Amino acid sequence: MNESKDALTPDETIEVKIGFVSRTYARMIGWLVTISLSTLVAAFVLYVSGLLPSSLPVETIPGLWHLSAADCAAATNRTIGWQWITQVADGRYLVYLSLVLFPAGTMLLVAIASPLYLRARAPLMSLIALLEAAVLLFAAIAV
Amino acid sequence: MSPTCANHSSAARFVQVPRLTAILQTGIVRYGPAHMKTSLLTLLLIVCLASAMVAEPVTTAPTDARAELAPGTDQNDRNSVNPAPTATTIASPLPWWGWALLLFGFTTLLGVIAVIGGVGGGVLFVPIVSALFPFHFDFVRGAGLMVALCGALSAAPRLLRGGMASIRLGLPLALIGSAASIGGASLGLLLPTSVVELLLGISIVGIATLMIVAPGGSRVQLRSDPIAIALGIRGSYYDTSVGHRVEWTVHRTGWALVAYIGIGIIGGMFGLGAGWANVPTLTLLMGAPIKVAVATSGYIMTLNSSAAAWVYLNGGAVLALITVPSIAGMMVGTKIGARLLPRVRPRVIRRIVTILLVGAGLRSLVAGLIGVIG
Repeated sequence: MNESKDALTPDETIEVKIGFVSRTYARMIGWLVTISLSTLVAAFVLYVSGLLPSSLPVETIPGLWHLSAADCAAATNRTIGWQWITQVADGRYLVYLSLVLFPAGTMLLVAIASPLYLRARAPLMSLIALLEAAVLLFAAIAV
Repeated sequence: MSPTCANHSSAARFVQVPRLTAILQTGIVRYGPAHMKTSLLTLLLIVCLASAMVAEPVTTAPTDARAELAPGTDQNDRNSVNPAPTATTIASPLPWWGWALLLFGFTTLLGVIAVIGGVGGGVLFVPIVSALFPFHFDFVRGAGLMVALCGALSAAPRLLRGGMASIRLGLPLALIGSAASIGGASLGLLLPTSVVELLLGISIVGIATLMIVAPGGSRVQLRSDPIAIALGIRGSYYDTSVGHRVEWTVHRTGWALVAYIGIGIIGGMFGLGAGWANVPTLTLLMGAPIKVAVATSGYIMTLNSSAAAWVYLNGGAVLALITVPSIAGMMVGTKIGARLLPRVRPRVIRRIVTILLVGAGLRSLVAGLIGVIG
C-alpha cells in the first residue's frame, strides 16, 4: 500500500526521531506522576496521622488559613528560601517536599529532553527545551 | 464482552457514589495502572481521614495556634521570617478532617463538571472555591495551580503517546507562557488581595463571555507563516471520525506568542493555569485542528503551571490541607467525568459551567470592588 516506509526523506527521518523522543518523554512523565503521587500520599498520611512530628500540627491549620501567605508564614515560623530541605523530618516539610516533586520533575524532564532533541537533529527544539528548563530553574531558585 | 466493558455497562445504572466505591474496590484488577493511581490516592486519603476521625472525633481547631507552635520556634529562629505578633487565628466551625472531606467531595464534583463542560479544572477551582470556602485567596490560587499541574501531568503521557499532542507546537508557546506566568504569579502575591480579586472577577467574566461567543471550531490551517516554518510546526494524524489522514500546520504564530504573554500573566496571577485559553488560541488564532489543540493544551499546562507553582510554593502559598484533598478530588472527579461524558449532554453542562463562572466572577468582581473602595 504505502511504499514510502523504506525511503524516508531526511525531514521524515527527523520527525520519526522526534516522535521517539516524545514517546520517551511521555514515559518519563508517567514515572514522575507515579513517584510523585505515591510520595504525596505517603507524606500526607504521615503528616495528618501524627506519625511524624510536625512544627505545624494539622489541627491548627483551619485557624490560620484566613491569613495571607506572608502572615501565615510569619505566624508559623515557616523557613524561608530552600532551607526547609534540611527539615524534611518535620511532617509539614515532608508534604511540602512531595508537592515540590511535581514542578521539580517537570523541570528535570524538559532538561533531559534537550539533548535528546539534539541527538534527533532538532537543534532548535533542543535550544527551546533548554531555555524552558532555565526558566523553570529561575522560578525555582530566584523568585 | 471484556470484563471492563461488562463492568462499564452494568455500572451505568448506579449513581456517582456507588461508582466511586466500585472504582476504589476494583481499581487494581479491572481499571489498569492509570486508575490504580487515582484509586490508591483516594483510598489512602479516606483511610487516613477515617483514622483521624477515630483518633480525635470531636477535635476543633485551637483558638491560638501560636501557643502550640511556641516550643518548636527556637530552633527555627535563625531561618524563619519575623514571627509577626499581628497574626491572629480564628476558631473553625469544623475540625480539619471535616474541611478536608468537604473539599475532597466538592473538588470531585468540580472535576466531573470540568471534564463534561470542557473547561480546565483551574478555571473552575479558583473562583468557586474562593467564593465558598474560608481560605485566603493566596492559598486558593496556590492550590489551583497545583491542581492544574497535577491534572495536566496525569493526562500528558497518554496525550503524548497517542501522537496527537505536538511538542513542536506546544514548547515555544509554553516557553513564553511560563516566563510570563512567573511574572504574573509574583505580581499576584505582591498586589493587595482586593485588587487581585477585582482583576480575577473581570478575567473570569471575560472567559465566560469567550465561552459564549467563541465559535465551536475553525478551518484547519494548511499554509504556514515564517515562524511556524522555522520552528517546523506541522504534523498529520489519522482522524477516525472522518476516516482519513489530516495534514495540518499553523499560522499567526507571532501573534500567538504575544497572546501567551497575557495568558501566562493571567494564569499565574490568579492560579488558573492556562487550560481556559489554550484551545481557543490554538484553534481560533493559529488554526490548529481541535484534536491537536486539546492534546497540546495539556502539555503546555504542565510547563506553564510548573513555573507559576514555584512562585506560590516559595511564597508559602501552598497549604497541604487545602492542596492534597483538592488534587485527590479533582483527579477522581475527572475520571468519573470522563466515564459519564458519553451519557450526558455536554451542551447543558457547558451552560451550567458558564452560569457558574459568571456568578463566581461577578462575586469576585463585587468583593474586589468593595475591598478597593472600602
